[in-house]
Amino acid sequence: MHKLFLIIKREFITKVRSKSYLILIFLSPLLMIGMAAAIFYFVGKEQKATDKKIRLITLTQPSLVDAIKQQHPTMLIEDGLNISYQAAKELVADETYNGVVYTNTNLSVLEVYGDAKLPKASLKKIIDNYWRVHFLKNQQIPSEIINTITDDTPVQIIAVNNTEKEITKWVKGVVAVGLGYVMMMFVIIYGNAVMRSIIEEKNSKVIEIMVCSVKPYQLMLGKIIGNAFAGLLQFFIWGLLLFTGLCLLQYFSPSIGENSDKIVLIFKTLWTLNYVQIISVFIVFFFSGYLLYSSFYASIGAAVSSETDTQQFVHPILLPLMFAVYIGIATIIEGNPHSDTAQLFTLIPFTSPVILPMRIPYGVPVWEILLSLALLLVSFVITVFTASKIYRIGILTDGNKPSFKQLIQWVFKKI
Amino acid sequence: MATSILNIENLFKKYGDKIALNHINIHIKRGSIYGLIGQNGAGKTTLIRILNKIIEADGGSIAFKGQKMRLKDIASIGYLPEERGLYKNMTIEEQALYFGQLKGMSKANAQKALAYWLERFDIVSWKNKKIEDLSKGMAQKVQFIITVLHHPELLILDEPFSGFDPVNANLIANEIKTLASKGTTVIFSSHRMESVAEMCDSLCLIHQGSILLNGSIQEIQKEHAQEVYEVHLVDYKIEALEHFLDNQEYHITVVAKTSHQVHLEVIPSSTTAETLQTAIAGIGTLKLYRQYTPNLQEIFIKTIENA
Repeated sequence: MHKLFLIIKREFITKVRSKSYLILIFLSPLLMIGMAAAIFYFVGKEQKATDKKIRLITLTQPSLVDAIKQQHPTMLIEDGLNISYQAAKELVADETYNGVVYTNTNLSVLEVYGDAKLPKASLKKIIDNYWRVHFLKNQQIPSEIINTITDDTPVQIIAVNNTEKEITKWVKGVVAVGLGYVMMMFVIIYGNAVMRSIIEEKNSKVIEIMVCSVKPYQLMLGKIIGNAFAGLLQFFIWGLLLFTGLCLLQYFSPSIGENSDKIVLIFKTLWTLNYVQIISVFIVFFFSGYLLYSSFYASIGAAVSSETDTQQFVHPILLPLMFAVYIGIATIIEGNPHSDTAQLFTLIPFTSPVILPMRIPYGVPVWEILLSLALLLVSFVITVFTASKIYRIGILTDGNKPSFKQLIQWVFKKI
Repeated sequence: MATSILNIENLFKKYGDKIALNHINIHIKRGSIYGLIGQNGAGKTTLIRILNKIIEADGGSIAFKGQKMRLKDIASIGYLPEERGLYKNMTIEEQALYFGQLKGMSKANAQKALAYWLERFDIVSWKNKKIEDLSKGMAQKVQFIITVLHHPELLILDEPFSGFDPVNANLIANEIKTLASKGTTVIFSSHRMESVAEMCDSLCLIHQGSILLNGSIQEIQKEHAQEVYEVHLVDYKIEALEHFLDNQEYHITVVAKTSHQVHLEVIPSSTTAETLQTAIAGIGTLKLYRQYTPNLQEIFIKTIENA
């Protein structure tokens, strides 16, 4: 036990002392915030640009053109062209314009011709209305009546005030996706760290001295646990930074303007989440999920001689993790967090470390948490045992990278 | 064997179909320097790994200090592998304390032992240097210190002089001898015969998992020296020489031959040395007659060739 503690301590200190760790802790959040801001900026810019880019030819009466301009102020409307409808269509076909609105003088032909970008439904509505007014006028209907039945109808659209519910859903969704991604990222980053550390030990030949002082599984476990603590420290620091950032944001944001009510609601929802449960479940599932996956990473590190040889083996590990995040988004965020699919993947050990923390903000029954954890722990004991078998042979083996078949043989091989 | 620290009996190990150690027996006296000689792949590393409990034997037994060897006995072994390795990003002190404690030392004792060895090698100022900042030779010295830090009763050194310049190799050789004189038993694995001959009291030659030679260096040399005679004759009679060369009682190798002198290497198969002297008396003028003492390298090469 004392030896295991020494190994954990060395691995933890070596990890947290490295420059890459400090960069990961303090620079990564800044990079992520910067990246998110850049995405919002460019998406917003692109949306504005898309609306502006729509170019429409109007071969119709000026009053209809005015009605279109009123509804689509950013659209580029070309109404002074003295060309035929056919010529205008050709300009659309060669992508100079996105569409044409054509009407003949007696309004017996009214057409909208355009590509996918053209808001055809909206244009149809404007032209429908224009035709109705024109038709009613021809029927000698007084203009007050026409206005009443076209513009001043008593129909009112009253939106259901679901803001609070929507914001709660949105906040929980953000927290859930955040937890899922952080879990996946941590497992990959720290699993890789374990793998690299073992490859380094193999290459520097220090492994030979280590295994004559400690048992291989002690070394592997110490390495995995040491890195897990470094991961938890990072999680703790990120949590602290996030908490400070949110407090500062809450303090300065209520005076922003018309959205201030929503912002107050966002913070209200944020502070009502059960963080004791979220954090404790995250830590427990991170530890067990990470142990499950990092034991695979450890056996890969032991089996190969260089990092370039790891790709073939790492890929199958990444797939279930990525699958879990996407399943989580599809079932929990977009669908029902308590659906059968969500419950099923909560119980599968390869996806539960990601899915369960994602479901936690929506409330998960205790029995489900305990069952999921029990299954995860059983699986992790089996994988650690299997991985340690591969590990103890791999660390003493040099040369070509083994095949999957050889790795399976190593599990049953006596040394 | 009361004075033996290590008794290896009938040790057997195979990897798949390949036999790595074929029922070997080795007895090593306490405080001796024991040479383990063999080519690459002979089975030396397998034996060392079994002694360190890194791998398990398929058969046989190992007794350490008269008792069946247990896992906790590993703490009494210091192992310097041929391929040296330390943690590059740790300082010498951190490294020594880490390995010392893994071998069961207290932190204070490891610190004390480190101070002793740094002083002994006159490298106290290196204490806080990282391994990545040291030259290969400097790192080798640190590796040696880490191997002996926990006062092991049995020291296993695999090619201990590789990577050292002659001055430092001599320094390390003296330290090994000093440790042996204080009671530490040393297993010295190497394929460099001259260093083995100089350092070891006794040795064994492993070839393809089997022991071909075993015993003290004097015994081995004496055993091989009895067989071979160097004979140098001048003005020899051709017929008498040819008659002697045909003599089935001797295994004769013509080392050099000119028209008036011949240099022979003679191994009597059944007759004695006196009979040989009589047999060569009439061939020509005897310029040189001596019992040939081959050096260890020649003995090993010949033994392996005949195996």
